[in-house]
Amino acid sequence: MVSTIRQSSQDMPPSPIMAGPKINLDVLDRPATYSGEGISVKSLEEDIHQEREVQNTKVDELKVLRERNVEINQAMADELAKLQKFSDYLNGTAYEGGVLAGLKSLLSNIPGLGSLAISQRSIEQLLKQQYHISARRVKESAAYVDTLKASEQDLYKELERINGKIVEMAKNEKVALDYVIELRDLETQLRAEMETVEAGSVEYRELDSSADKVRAKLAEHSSNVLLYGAAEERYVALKDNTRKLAETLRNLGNDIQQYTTAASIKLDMASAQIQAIGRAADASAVVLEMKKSLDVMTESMNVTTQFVSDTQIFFRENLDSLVQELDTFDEKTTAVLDTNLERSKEIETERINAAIAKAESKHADDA
Amino acid sequence: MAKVVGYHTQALEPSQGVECLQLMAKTIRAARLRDSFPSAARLRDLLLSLERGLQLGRYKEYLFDARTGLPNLASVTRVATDVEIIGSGGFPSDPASRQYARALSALRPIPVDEIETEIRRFDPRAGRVEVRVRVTKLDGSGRFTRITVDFSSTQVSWIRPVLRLDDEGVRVALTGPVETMIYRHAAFDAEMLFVRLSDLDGVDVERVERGLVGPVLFALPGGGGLETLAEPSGDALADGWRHVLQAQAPERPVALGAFQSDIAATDIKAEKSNDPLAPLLRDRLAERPARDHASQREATLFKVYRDCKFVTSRELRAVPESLMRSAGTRNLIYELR
Repeated sequence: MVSTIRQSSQDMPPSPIMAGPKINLDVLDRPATYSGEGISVKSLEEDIHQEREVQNTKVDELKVLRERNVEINQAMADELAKLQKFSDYLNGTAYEGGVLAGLKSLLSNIPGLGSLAISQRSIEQLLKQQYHISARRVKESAAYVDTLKASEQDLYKELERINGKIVEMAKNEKVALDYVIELRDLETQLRAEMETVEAGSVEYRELDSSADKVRAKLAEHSSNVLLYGAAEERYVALKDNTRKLAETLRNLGNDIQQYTTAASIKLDMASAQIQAIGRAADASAVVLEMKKSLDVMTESMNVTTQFVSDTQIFFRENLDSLVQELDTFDEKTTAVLDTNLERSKEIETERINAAIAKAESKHADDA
Repeated sequence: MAKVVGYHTQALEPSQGVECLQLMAKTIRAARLRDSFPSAARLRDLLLSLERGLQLGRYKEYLFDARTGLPNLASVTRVATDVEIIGSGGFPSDPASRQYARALSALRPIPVDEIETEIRRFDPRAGRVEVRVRVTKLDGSGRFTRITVDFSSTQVSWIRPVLRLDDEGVRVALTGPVETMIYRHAAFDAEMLFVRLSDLDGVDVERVERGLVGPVLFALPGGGGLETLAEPSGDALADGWRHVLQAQAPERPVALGAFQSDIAATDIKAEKSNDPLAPLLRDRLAERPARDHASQREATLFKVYRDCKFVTSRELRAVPESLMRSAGTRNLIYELR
């Protein structure tokens, strides 16, 4: 945009083309052509403030990003370290306290698993979940690289705008300087001409009036020289800060990108190992469970065997007396039976004898 | 040539990665997977997500499992975390990222793990509930695996320790230990899980079914030579694969995929393995353990059936055919067109 600083026609009537026969006053009517919105101390402060606001916003964003990135990187590092432990476990380098001690130590790293018995959860499943979380963290971190890149691009656009402002301010300063020189020359000429005319004469008054106008314009445009000069310097300072900020963002983005790329490669390479560990651990658990079943079975078999064995000893130890007792029982029985039999025979004989006696007695009576 | 960049991890540069993913999607589509396998639609969405990620420069390489040719844990997690971050609004806003986010929002990629529990039938008078549990996971073997368990339980016994009700008392979920048991057994035979679940009080197991996607062995001819898997798994399958590749260098992208199923169920009439890559458990045991196994199984009501179907490019058809001849099995072979 081009602005023209023009004297108001109400305040300043058009100057005569010539103040005197030798002086050209065109410069007073010719506007100084500045580009942009025009400048004042207030507008310059406002513009600079606006530019600083952009920087401050970016710095605040950067702070948040840095804090968030520190959190993510820490979490990511922790999780990758856990996966690394599993990898070491697979290589057989990490633990000296035996496989089970190693596995227990590893599992204590997984939230919610430390207190669980190994057989209650599938380790393969849990490791896959852990892998998933780590992979997601890496992606979240990588997403910040994109945010940083977008932020960096914003700052470079801002830098272009500031560069535009610097050039504009430099041009305007030059316009103001050129105009001030012209005005100064005109004033010098007017003052010199005044020396040549009679003081208080009409010519003198006209020349004096023109000189006042020149002075007023000189004051105005001298101020512009200073303002545009100061603006240029301040925009240059802003530009340096903006560039530093953009470079910081770029470096941070590159650092995160390198880190996430490395982490991502590490994860990609670890996936098959993670599965292998999970599979091996689960298979061990299945085998352990089977062993437990077998142990139970072995125990029952042991009990049975013991029972049989004890029974055998019992029989061996007691069989003779049992048999003897049985023999004794038989002997007694036989004796009883014999006694009974003899007694029966005796009773039978007695009964027969009694009957015979009775019969003989009856027969004697009848006779 | 494809680089082995980590433990069981291989990488392809983007254009070959896209080619590989497209071949993979074609192979899985051709397999006509039933519900007992990991969802073909969600697998396709995962492959499409990765493809878009590579095409739009989101990822600089395609990482896959060097044994199975399938996307590995890193690749599956990449997509899963992208979906999460897009959902939370923290995704980058550059045009390529926005395009990628738009593509992903229309897809439902298969996750690393998923556990679903549904009530199939509920008889309030008998207090009996029939439940189906599905665990889908990217297994440690690098294959996508789904285990489906059908069981029933009476109300008195099922609240604990097998199932729990949600807060509204409407839906059921597995208790932690049972969920873990099923999850862990993904790597083992269905038979083993059937036996383990049957040990739980108050549970009548009807069916345990495993469906496995992979390996999907592929070869991509290119300027730098033949891109293929560095550690193909599947034993006999891998041997046949290597043999064919050595004998005839393919001039176009080729693939060979195996899709195994393993069922232990009470409604199977005869125990049999029709899977040339996986005989029955009893046939893999030594004489004495086999005898013990047989005596233990006499008392059980379930039988085991194993099967496998193949998807193959025409050039590689000889591999599954040879496997079938050796094992005396008859398997479905879908030819990739």
